[in-house]
Amino acid sequence: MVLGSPYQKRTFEIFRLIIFGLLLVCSAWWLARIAADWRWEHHPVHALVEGLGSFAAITAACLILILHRFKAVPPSYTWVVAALAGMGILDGFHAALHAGPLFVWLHSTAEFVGGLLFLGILIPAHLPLASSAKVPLVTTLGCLLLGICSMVFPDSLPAMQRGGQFSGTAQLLNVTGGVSFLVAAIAFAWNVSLDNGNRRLFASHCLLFGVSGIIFEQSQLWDGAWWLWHGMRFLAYGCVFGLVMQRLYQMQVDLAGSHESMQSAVAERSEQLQEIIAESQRNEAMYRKLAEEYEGRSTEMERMQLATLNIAEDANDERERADNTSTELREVNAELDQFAYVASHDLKAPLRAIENLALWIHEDANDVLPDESKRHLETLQQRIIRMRALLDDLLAYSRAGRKRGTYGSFETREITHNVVELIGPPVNIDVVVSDSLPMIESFPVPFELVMRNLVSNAVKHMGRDEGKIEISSEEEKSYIAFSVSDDGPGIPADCRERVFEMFQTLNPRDEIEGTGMGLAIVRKVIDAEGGKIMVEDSESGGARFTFWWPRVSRRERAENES
Amino acid sequence: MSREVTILLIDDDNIDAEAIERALRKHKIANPVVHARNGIEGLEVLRKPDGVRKPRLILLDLNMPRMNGLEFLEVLRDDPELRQEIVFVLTTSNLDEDRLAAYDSCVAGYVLKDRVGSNFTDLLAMIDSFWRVVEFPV
Repeated sequence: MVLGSPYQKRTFEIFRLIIFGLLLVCSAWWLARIAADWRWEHHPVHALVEGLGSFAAITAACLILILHRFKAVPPSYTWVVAALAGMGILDGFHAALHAGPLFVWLHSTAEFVGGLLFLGILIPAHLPLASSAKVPLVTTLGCLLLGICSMVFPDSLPAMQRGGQFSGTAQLLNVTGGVSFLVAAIAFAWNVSLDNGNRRLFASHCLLFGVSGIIFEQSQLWDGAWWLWHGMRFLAYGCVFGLVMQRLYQMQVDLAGSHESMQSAVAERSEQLQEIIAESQRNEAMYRKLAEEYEGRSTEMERMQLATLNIAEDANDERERADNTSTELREVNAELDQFAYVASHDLKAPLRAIENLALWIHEDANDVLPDESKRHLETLQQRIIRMRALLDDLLAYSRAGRKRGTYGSFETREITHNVVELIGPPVNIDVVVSDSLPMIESFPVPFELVMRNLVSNAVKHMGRDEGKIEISSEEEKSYIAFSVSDDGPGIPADCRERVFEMFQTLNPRDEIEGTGMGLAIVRKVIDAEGGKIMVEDSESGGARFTFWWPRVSRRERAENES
Repeated sequence: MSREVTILLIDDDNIDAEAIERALRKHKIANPVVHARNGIEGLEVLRKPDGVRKPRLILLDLNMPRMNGLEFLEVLRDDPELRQEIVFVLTTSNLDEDRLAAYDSCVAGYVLKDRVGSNFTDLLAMIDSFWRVVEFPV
């Protein structure tokens, strides 16, 4: 049989209870019939049964109270405790008595009180009365009082027996109690808040009491039915006692188990702790090692820092040396400036004086001078002029490349045209400037200086009044190659390097007035701009000067020098 | 010359001084010329009463011993009595620095000795035109 829902299950249990109860009632009825005349009057056995039952009930009540302290029972425990305690007390009084009216009275009241108190579990849980802790105490005191009063005033009790049969009052008390027990049994069977074992047990307990209350009506003192329901009651008490004992044992087992698990947990924990300690020791060792390593590292770092400092110091020294070098260079430049100044002033001033004096001699005494002296005086004046030119060009050379103008893009074609115009070559010398001369990014002054010197050189050294000068350009990767070609006498191959040196001329100075500084100045300027210059034969047998000028000039030099 | 302008020549070169005097003589110009050999002498003669009669004009060389031309100009422009003097620099120095420094001190002109022709004839012609055309402070 498969039972699906809890509802079906409980219905089945109630059905079983009813069957069981009916069986008991029938067996009692049957016993009464077949052994109607059987009597076994034995007070000690009865006292033992009732006493043990009473003891079991009171003990169970106490144990449930104890269990309650561990929250091992449902909230309605108060009524169960009250019922057990009340029944236990009254049955205790009952067990101590000899058969008589008081004897029956106490038993009946025990049944009645127990049944009614068990009905207390029906009180809805939300009412305070359902779980009031005072109920067991009040019941206990009330039952004690009832028992004592019954003992003290036995005469004022209602009649319990009438002609060998139990009286109506006794039967009413017992049947009412029994019916209450039966209702309580069904309530227990229906109760969802109890686990299966408890529910079944309390249901059985109440059923036994209920049936014993019903059977009471059929029984007489000491007969078979009488002993039957006594046995049932004893069994019921035993059930509850056993249950409670089992619960206590279970609790103890649980406690032991929890103790054990606690111990094992403690052991586990301490093991973990050991492990943690071990690990922390390992960690500590590691940290110590790390710290040592770190210390080593930091020493290394310090060494490295020291090395860095040393390097920095070295670098500083190096920079100082470089500074010194550049300072020296600046000093040299300054000296050169000073020299240029001396050349321009200190050397030229006496030269001017000499020139004046020669002039005055010429003016004042030319008539009286012998012819030879006159010629000497003329030569003297010519050399004075050349000397001044040399000094001027020396000054120009020393200052060449110093003045650069403003960096920027400019048309080389335009500058070249201006240069040609400024020089003003003789009408028969044709100067052709190619249209291909590009725009470059550079300083205009050095470029103009180079172009002016080359063009004026070409004009000066043409050797005749007519000729052709061509200025062209060719674009290379990062340079522009500018060429100035003429159809003049040209430069012999063995002199081509020498023309760029200072004070070098090809012709005697008396024939072509020149200091030999022009090309030296040109090369100096081109070198400074990062270009180069060379000379070769032109197609027409003249000279072709080609200089490479950077497409984009370095501007740092100017910034450094400025 | 309609007005008697005194020329103060401050130059350590005696030949240049002689050249100027010679040129004046040659042009039959009778303007008085005072010659000082350096800046200090120039200041002395300027500060002396009747040292250099006004109206006057200074021809100043730059490179001189003791006190050079630029130092002389500095003192001159700081002196409330002398700051209005008309000064022409007459020098052989073609340095940009000198030129700029001279014009910073408010000179009337910067003249290169090389450019004024032999015997300073162009210079004297310029001075002649100058004092006839330009109004003087005094």
